[in-house]
Amino acid sequence: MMIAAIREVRAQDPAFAPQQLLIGATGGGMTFGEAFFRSLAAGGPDRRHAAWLANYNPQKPVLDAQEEAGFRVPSAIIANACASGSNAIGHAFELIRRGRRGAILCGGYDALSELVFRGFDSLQASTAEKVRPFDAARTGLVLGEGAALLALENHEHARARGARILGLVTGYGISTDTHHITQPHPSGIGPRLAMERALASAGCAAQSVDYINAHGTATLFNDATEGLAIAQLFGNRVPVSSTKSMMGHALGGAGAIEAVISLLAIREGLLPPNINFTACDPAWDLDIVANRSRPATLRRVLSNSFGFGGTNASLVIESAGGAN
Amino acid sequence: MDAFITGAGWITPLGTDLGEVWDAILAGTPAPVRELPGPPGHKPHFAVSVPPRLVDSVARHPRLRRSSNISLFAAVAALAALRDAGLDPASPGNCAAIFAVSDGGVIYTRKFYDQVVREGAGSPLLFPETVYNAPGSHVAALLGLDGITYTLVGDASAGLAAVELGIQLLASGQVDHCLVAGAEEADWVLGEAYRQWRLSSSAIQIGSNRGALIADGAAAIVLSRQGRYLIESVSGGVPFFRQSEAAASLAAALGQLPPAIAPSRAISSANGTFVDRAERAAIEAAYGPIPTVYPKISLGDPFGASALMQIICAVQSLRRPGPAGSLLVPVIGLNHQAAAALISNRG
Repeated sequence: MMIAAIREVRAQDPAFAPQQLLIGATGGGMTFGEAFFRSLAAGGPDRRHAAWLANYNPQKPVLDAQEEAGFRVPSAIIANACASGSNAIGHAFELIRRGRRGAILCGGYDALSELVFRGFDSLQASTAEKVRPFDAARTGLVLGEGAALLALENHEHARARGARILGLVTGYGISTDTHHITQPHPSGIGPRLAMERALASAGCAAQSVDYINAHGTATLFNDATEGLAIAQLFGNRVPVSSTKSMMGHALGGAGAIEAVISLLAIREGLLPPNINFTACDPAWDLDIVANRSRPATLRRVLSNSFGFGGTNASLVIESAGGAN
Repeated sequence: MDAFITGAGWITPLGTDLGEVWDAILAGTPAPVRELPGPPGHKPHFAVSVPPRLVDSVARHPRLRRSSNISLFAAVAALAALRDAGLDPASPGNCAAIFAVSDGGVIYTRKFYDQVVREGAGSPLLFPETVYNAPGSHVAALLGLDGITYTLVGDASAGLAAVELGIQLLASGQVDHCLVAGAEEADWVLGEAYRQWRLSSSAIQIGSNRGALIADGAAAIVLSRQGRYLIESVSGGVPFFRQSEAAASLAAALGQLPPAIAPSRAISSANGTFVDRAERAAIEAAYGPIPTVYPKISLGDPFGASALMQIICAVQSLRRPGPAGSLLVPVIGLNHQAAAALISNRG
């Protein structure tokens, strides 16, 4: 998936020359670790499994992609659970905004694995039914997988070399909820701080946000606290949807995938729908983009990602407008 | 902007006292090797491990009493580093926390997946501790940090990447201090994995290429804008795609350091694998032969924590009377990157 994503970036912009890779991941090559463990449990033969081990570490898919693209530059893998992809984009944004880097390839990836599947099942966080974010009848998340990368570059430099500018990252907020390793504080303070900090980072008011691509896993706990925090900050004025209702939850890749969806929403002038929606949780009054996409002129989008360990990240993504 | 190391703390197989462990390293005293508990009928694996009593001070904390060793180690090291920096762990102020791990919470990961394989389901008490950022989450909760917390995963070079990230955060003005920690825990399944990868051994012998001796432990430093022990420079990580490229990658990393600074001593990352020759070749090509300390002879290799342990060794070296100068911290990981740092006493 990482190789496919990096090939796509190279195809779209062959001249993009990153000085660093910042990639979010949480499971890494877990499936290789599982195969190794099962071979041990079965008393299987040695040695032939060495290749599995080499692919276990989360840096390996990144290294493979770097070698494929010829990017012999530093890479860092941020493993902040399900916020990892947004953290990677957010920190890349900070480095570029502050002049420490000119161009960074950033994003995230994760692949389905049995361990993660069984893990969410053990927590009764996953569902065998349809995934219904923010719905009163939501019963849990459905796992997904994927990779997404952004070629993030200093604005002036990108314009000077004639790059096609798809959009702007203008704000990043991060917070840590110290309440519990898997459950957010019921007040929604963690998500709220991340969103407030992202808005402050972008220098914009909540009223100026046109759409929120929510974390929206459809678990009882996430949606309760995220919904509360969104309602507190934005009221019901801003359309909200969770595209995990269609894509599933790609964990470390989710934030990056949803950043791309946010860019596409801006470009296409469409609010992506929150499918499988029947009725809003009565705990809050939100403008959910229920079941069908809506046409809209979008200039500024907020994208949320939250994860185990109480890690929360929000990105502000804006239209390139006349930037090209 | 200058970044200084203002506090250090560690938990190692040889103890937690900075001075005593440093003395043992200088003397080449090896930590006791023990056999890791493993399934019956399988090959034995060995490690140098942290004595359980060393985590007593944090093990009963409500947030930590069910956590894996790696989180306990990270907590002990982090609290010690903050105290060494003169910061109150109950109120460390505007402080970020960056963690580096390689294999992470492998004990609970192995236990959880073993339940899945044998019984078709795993315990919900174990699964949350399998995520790489579990130590970072627990330590942030312990310290009440509601801001920036990152966990970087990679080989040993992740420790220097974490230091670089911490310096970036300090330079941005977002925080006043940054806690940077590395942690790792040993387990039989790691021993088996590295054995099959031909990278582990039951003893460490520098230059032998027989393999690394797996270890557990944690190390933490506090970075601030003022202090005595200056991080002159940290290179970016230079990737290598095969082991034969490791020396060239470290040479490229050393080439990023200020050429005017000639280090008086190196704190080596040599661990009994291909790393040893690659590191020596790159250092000698850049600086000629320089006195070198080999901490992993004493501490084994706690992969994600090892670079931070090297940095603390450098600080301890600078804290002792002796020739002034800068210390080189070279790092070659096993399967990701090479990197290097220079540390000086500006007191």
